[in-house]
Amino acid sequence: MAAEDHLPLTPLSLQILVALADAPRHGYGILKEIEGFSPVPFRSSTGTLYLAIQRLEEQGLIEEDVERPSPDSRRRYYRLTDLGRDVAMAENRRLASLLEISRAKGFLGSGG
Amino acid sequence: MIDAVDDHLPLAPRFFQVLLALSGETMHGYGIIQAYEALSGGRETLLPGSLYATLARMTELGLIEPAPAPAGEKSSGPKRRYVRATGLGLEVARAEAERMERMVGLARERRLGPAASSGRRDLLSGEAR
Amino acid sequence: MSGRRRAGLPGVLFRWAFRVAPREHREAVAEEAAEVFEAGYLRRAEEEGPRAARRYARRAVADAALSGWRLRRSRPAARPRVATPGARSAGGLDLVTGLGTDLRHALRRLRRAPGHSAAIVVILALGVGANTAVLSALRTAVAAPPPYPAADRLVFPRLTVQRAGEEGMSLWSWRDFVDFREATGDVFSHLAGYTARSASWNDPGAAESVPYELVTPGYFEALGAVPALGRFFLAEEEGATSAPGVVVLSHDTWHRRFGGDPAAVGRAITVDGIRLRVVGVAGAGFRGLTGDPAFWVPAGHGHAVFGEWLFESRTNYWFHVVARLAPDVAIEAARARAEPVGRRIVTADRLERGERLEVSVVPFHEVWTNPTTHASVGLIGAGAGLLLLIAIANVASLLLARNRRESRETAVRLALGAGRGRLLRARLIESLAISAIAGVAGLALAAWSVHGIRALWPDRLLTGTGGEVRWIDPSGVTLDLPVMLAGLGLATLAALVFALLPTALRRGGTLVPALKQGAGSLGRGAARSGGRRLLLGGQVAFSVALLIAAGLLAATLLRLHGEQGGFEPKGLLAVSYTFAGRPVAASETSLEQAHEELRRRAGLLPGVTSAALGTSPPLAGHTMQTRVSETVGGTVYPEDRRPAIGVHSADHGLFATLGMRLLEGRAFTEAEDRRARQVLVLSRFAARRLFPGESAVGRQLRMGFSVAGDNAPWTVIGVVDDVLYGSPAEGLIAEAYVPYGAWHGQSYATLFVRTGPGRDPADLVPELRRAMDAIDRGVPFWRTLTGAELRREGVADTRVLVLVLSFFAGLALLLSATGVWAVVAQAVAERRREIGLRVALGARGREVEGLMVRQGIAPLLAGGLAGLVLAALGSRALSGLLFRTGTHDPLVFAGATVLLAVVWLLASWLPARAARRVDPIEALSSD
Repeated sequence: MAAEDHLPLTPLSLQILVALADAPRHGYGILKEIEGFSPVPFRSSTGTLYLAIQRLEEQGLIEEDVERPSPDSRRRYYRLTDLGRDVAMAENRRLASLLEISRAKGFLGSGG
Repeated sequence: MIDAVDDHLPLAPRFFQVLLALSGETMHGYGIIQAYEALSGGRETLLPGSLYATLARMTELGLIEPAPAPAGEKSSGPKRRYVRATGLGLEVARAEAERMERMVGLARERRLGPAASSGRRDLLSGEAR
Repeated sequence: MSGRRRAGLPGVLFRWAFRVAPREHREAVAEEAAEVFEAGYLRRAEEEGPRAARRYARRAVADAALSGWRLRRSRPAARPRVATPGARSAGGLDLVTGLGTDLRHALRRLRRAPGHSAAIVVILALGVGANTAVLSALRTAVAAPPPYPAADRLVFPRLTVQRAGEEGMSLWSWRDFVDFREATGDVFSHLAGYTARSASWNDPGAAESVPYELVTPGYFEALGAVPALGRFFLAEEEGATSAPGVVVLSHDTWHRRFGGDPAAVGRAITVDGIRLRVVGVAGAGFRGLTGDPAFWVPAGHGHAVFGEWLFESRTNYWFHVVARLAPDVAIEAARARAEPVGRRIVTADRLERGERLEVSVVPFHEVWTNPTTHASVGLIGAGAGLLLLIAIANVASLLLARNRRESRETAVRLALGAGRGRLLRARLIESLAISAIAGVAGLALAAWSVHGIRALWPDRLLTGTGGEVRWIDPSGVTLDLPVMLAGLGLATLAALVFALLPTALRRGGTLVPALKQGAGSLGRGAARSGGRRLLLGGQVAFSVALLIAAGLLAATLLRLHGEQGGFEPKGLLAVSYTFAGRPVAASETSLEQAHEELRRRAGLLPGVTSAALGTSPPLAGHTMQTRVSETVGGTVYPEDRRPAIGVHSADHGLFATLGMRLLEGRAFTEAEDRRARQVLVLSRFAARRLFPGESAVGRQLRMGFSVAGDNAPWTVIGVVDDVLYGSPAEGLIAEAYVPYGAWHGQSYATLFVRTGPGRDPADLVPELRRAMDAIDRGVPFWRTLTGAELRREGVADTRVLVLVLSFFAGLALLLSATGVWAVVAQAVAERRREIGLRVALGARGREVEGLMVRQGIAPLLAGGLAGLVLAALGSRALSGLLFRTGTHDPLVFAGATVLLAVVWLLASWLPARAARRVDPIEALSSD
């Protein structure tokens, strides 16, 4: 499947992909990372978060990282797949173009 | 109806795009579909069924509201329903755009984003290679 | 778009697919959506060719169906409220047809939270079951019909010589009775005398002291008894003196002594050394009027045992009278007839100055119930009510918690278009299902408890005002269905209210916060909801109040039991006897000598440390009561305000033998045993009542009893500690002890014997019997009680109350502990994620534990305070039942509060420990 076929991503899916961009993380790590993204409190239930993680894994955008930083057997670590990276890039491109339009229509300050 | 702007974030992409398509104008269904398609350069379409389900939901949430037909438009056919973004809808769209911008910026830092439109473009794209 | 173009088949398909949308949408936008579709289709057909148009049509039709479905599912709940009349009737139909679905749904919900459902069922069952059992017993005891057929036709004729300021005695003399019976033969179908005595059973079987009733023929007939075997007494047996006498055995005695052998009739028994022939056996359940007599003998038996004097003197009052109204005679007619008869019998010359004759015909039910009974019944009823309230509060708080937990589901269901009525009905069915299960469980529990109540049933219960004992057969205690249904109904109603209220109040628009709130939001404890806190606090308040009530009565019981009962029961034996007739034939001196000789011989028995003579044993009722008319140089009491005072005789050794403390002044001297002087010793209560704020010693008073004649004043020589003579329910009254010498000429006395350590006072009875036989063979000890027995007898009613209230208080404690346990356990479950986060952030086990325990503290403090206030206000109702225990006894109040607090905190801490075990990863990954 082409990266474009996964678009648009839900905001949460994108947040997860971005959260995994720099390092593999476990579920709670993803939650902490996402909470750091925005001053607006993370509102989805953790259940929703895990469902999203599961769906991304099924779609092949993320995968379980078998090399764990620590031998803590209970924690599952996830990392981005190449497809996931492409989808995230595509989604961000899509968002960027929408943001261009937003800026043009005055939804955003012209700076940036 | 939820009044707090933050309570709507993050906004479903489709809602955001409908708000963006409407921007400040009053439109009917077909006009929204066309404006929506134009946002993505024709790549994303909004099918009529989804359109009306989306409009119903957004009306419920107070993001859009029914509006009288704009003065210029006259229809010979049956009465058309027009909508426009509410003040809340515009605010939410604005806040969502800011959130997305932060998100895109972050993705860019993590080498997941498109090249920035500013002078940082070369540096970042160079790194990405 | 002039001259509208149609897309043909795709347009038809699109319209058809959009029919999935709910009707109001379909009507409003379907045509417009179809137009939009057709415009898009035609544009694509024109610009991109038929293939692109077909692909667009396929996607749009599928999307129309899907969107229509989504619209249907997310229809806002507020919508159906503004329905047309037609729509409403359709909704009504829907309410009926969905019943089965709702029932299944309700059962599924119950199964889904088995612990929670079980808790509700158990609490309701406990509350309703315990209530039913106790109130059933109570109704059996109080509301049950008397064990006599047509009891409303029974009356107690009373002939009372009332002396000014003195309690009249409603006893009859033999000759007055005979005259009265003759004159009222047309008013009463049966008129019978009866009195309780006790005798030594000699044969057959083991010897023991047994109670019996001395009755006139007609007694059984008046009470409507039927013999199980043989016959009752014949009229000619009434005064028979010729041996052998006849006897009717109680059903119980017949079984115990003769093994229920029908051949017992015609056999002989020996009591007090006298042979009696068994002529009949009373029916099972017939126990006479005075308790539980082993047998009945005709009054004539008194000739042999007590002597002729019982029957000769008109001033020898010794028995009660019961009568059955003749058919068609109203009680008013009986009264109108009895008055003149009474006046004719008690001629004016018999009345002394200031004396007044009172003739009354008292209806049965006035004797049957008395104020103490009412107080006890009220107390038990209040206890039962409080317990039910606690159970209801508990269930309500559990239901509120469930609703809170399910608020998300409710919101979703409302959003999905479930009608509010439908949701309410689902809750209704669920509550009814719970109530039904709890009802069955409660019934089982109550049935089981009734067995326990039968086992704990006191020997005697609820003594009537006239000395008549209401004997209630424990086997008669059965479940009271109306009580049960009332309790269950109340609980169900409360459950319904609390199950339905939150759903009914929920507005359609609150969907998103409820959905977004999810389970992941932080900082919301179960106990933080105002309603639950109120309910928890209420439970604490009611529990504290019940604990205090039980505590106050338990303290009374303890004080009655302990040495503070006013006398030392350990090693004490009280033997009451009457020198019946024979010594009376001799001079008065010989009567005194006989009493004193018995005391001397008793004092010489091995192991006996002291022996003394008096009139009444403590806690066994007053022998004589009168009223104080004035304190000399002090108060002159108006006739209707004269304080009651019990009068007892005391020899020089009585206070020491009973272990009564002398608080002031002196006790009697040996000289005063012989010489009747107008001196007395007051009880502490009497001294405070009559001479408030000053020393009573040396002061004088007048009362309706005097030995010097002419209403001479009595001089107070001492004050002793209080001893309770009546039941604790009657409370303390003033008591006066007069010198034994003032009692001269009385054939009646009670001998008190105190034994040293290691000697059981009960063992003394045969030796005392021999001592008595040496003085006057055949004089029976009609009452032989050890100190322990006195105590037991006196506290029987209180014991029942303490038992019942402790049972209630224990259950209340259990229920409120369950309540807080459930709340904290639930909070731990609800806040797992928060706890996990805190643990992940480095919070220690003890800290999260403390966090959970703290939830119950605010309700505990507020409820505890409310409970103390409630108890302080309510405990006044108990004052009549307490003995030496203040209604605001600080020890009891503090004890109850501390007990509840400890149990409460323990109940909070147990589930809070689970917070320690929360695994952050697991907690954060579950929803």
